[in-house]
Amino acid sequence: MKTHKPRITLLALAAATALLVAGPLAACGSSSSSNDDGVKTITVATGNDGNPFCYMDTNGKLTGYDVAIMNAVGDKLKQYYKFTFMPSDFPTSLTNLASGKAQIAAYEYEVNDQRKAKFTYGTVGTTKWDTLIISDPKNGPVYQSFDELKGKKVYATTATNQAAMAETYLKSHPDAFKLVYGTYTNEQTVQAIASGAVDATLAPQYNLDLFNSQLKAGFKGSDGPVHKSAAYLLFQKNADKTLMDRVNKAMQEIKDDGTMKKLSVQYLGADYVPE
Amino acid sequence: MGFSVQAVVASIAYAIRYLGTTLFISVFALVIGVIIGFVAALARFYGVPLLSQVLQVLITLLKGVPIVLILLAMYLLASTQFDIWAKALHISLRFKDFNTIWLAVIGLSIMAFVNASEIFRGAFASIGVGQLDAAKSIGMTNWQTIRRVLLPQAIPVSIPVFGNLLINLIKASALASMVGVVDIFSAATISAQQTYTFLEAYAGVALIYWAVVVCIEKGSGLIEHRMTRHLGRAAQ
Repeated sequence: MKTHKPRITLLALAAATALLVAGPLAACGSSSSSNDDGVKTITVATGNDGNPFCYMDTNGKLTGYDVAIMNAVGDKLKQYYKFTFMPSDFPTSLTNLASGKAQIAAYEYEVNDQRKAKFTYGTVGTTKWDTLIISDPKNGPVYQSFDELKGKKVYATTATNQAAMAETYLKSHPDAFKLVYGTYTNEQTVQAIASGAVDATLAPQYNLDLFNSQLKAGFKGSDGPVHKSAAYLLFQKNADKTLMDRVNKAMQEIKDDGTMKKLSVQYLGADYVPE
Repeated sequence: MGFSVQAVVASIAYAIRYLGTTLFISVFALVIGVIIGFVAALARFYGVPLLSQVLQVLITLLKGVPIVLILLAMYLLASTQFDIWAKALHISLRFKDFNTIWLAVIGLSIMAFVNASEIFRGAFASIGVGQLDAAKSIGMTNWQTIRRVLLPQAIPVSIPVFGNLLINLIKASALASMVGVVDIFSAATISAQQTYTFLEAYAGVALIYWAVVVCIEKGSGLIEHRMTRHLGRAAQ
């Protein structure tokens, strides 16, 4: 009676692996469809937990800065496209785009080589993400550079660009600082720095303002950025060129006419639109 | 877009180095949970006044709280209160030097304790009252009854359930990254963050979890078989 058991386990393993691997791939390119009036439906991958960029409000309605920008772009292009949103967590938004479930992804994507190899970036930045070293002046000096962080503990959230950037730096400077990984909430990050559990974190001005205004942290950032960056939309690598051109042009238009700045102030509390 | 098998292998190779952390948290939590859970179940089984009522309320309360909330609350409490208490108790350890893996262990121990106490309670309840009366009639003390009547019957029936509990703890240990611990799950995510091969990393870490879970299932089956052999009701 016992002998057939391992085979069933193996079969189940194989079936589950096949499902996991094939499921998202099977959906390749299947989600952009054309209506009779020539208006194409475009799926935009975005976040559902990225307050204030893309999140569900208390009524379960998708809202936020990235969503508002895509809606503004959608308004400009309504004779060609109808945008629908596909919300998920951050890593999944990238897999949704990669697998073809979505044609555009809007969730504060910064530029890096790996993403460049896999996707095509939009040409107009939506948000400034220059990375600062953030620390608590009550616990020590305000760190200005990675050199000053030698031997210190630096917190970075797993799977963020700050973590990838810090790892890259550590590869060439193996004993510069100790990277502490986690998936802290903003409150935890503030507690970790305030209590001295870590000495600093790497985050943009936007986060520093949030720590100080919402959580009364009293933190300081380095005077200059340790890394210059901005967030852009992402398209699939071999995306429809007309779609990319139209979206990029519409983005430039809403940037030039001040719509983007207005949305930044409305959703983020200040103007974080890159120059 | 392609699915890179190479990236799966790379993420497994990277994540497997943290298997020890995952197992340490889960097994340690199970051991603590089983010990405290056993004592709690005994107290409730014998209806120890006050203690059994307090435990009942406590277990009901803790049962209704998600482990995520326990971990988050513990981190925020520890980061604000740890140093104050350490100073009061004249312990030189400070929160900045405290390894937060212990927060994960305590958090999962709470989960294990609640489950273990209910498992033991169920196992004790399956033993007829007649046996306890019989034990008393031949002059056994409470401790002798526990050791010679309750435990030999309760442990074998609860082994598979504890196997399940360990599996649940291993899966729950993926939440340890909330308190800044790198386990196999967050290690897999870290291995993918440079290349954005998250799908591959998830597939890789799923394979590790499956392998571990299959081992635990087989292991607990073997232990159960050995323990129940002499009872004449061995598992098929």
